[in-house]
Amino acid sequence: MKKLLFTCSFLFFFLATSIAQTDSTKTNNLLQDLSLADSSQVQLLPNKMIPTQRLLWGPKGFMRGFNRFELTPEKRQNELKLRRTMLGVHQILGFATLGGMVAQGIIGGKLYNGRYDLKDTHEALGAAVNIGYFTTASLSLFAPPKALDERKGYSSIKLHKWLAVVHMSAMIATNVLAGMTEDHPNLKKYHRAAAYTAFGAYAASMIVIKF
Amino acid sequence: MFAQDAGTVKVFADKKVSSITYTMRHPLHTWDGTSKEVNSVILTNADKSVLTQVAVSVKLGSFDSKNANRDSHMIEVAEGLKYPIISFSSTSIQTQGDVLLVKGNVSFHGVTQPITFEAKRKTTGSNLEVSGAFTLKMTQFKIEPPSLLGVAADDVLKLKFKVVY
Repeated sequence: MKKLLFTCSFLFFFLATSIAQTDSTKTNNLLQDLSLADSSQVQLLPNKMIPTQRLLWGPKGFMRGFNRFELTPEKRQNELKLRRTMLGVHQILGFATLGGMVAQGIIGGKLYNGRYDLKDTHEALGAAVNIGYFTTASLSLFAPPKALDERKGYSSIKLHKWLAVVHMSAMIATNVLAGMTEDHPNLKKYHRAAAYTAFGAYAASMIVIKF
Repeated sequence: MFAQDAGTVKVFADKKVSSITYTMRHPLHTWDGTSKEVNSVILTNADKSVLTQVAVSVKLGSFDSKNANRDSHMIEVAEGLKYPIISFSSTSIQTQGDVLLVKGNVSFHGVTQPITFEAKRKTTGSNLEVSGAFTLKMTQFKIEPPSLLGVAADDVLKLKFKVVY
């Protein structure tokens, strides 16, 4: 009797295990069918990059000459982490620069209205804002590229980039005009207008990221 | 459609009309990302009235949230270049009218977790549409939720799917 019970238990266990294994094997086979149906490779780099990124990080970019930055999935994964770190600092420094711009707007306004004792402060703060601004920009311009191509249609990040073209142009104009106001005081109003344009576009480029 | 065992057929999903969408929430905004590159296959009977097995695989990079930086960020946190595929394979499917109780395993970021969810089935002509929703927690798959301006997004990913066979 014991022998019969043992044999029946063994058979039940064997059948149950076999059925479970068959189901599992079937599903695994189905997943294999799917991987065979889709044999496309993982995209490592976007097809389009801004020139600064292509120069450093493109398929034949300068950084590809270093072992650490060879174009492999594992190393690109590390590059994306580096990108995130650079963009994180870009955000923090961007806020600090915005604060500097606000202060510069207040001091610049007073200087424009005759407080000439603030000229040195205005120039020193201008230098600090420029360092903050162009460092912030560099962190974005030279960061490793994202993993994907740009998506179709409008996006907040595209607007952020378009506004960057506006505020960078205005920042360059502000600096050029600042150097000319010494000999041509009539250019002060254009210097101020360029600075306000830079500030407006810069602040807007931060706000749009929220959406 | 491919013949399998007696009475069982293998049917692949129609990618043109199938999609999976995730919804993610951050204190600043909520967004959706949709993949229209859903690879799926079922084992069913000839009239598709009984589903016995299902497998789904989708590339992480195929989810489009209309913001390439955000999609790239997802690939970064989920290590989508090392683990490019999210897959699901069923372990059991119970049919209760037009409702399916599906049990199976999700593999994401190299981690496999069991999952149970309900799906609805609808037959239109020769097409079988299966739709439903479920949630996943990113930390269960050893993924740190992405962050913006130093604030992390919610851990919970809400997923909706519609797959037509």
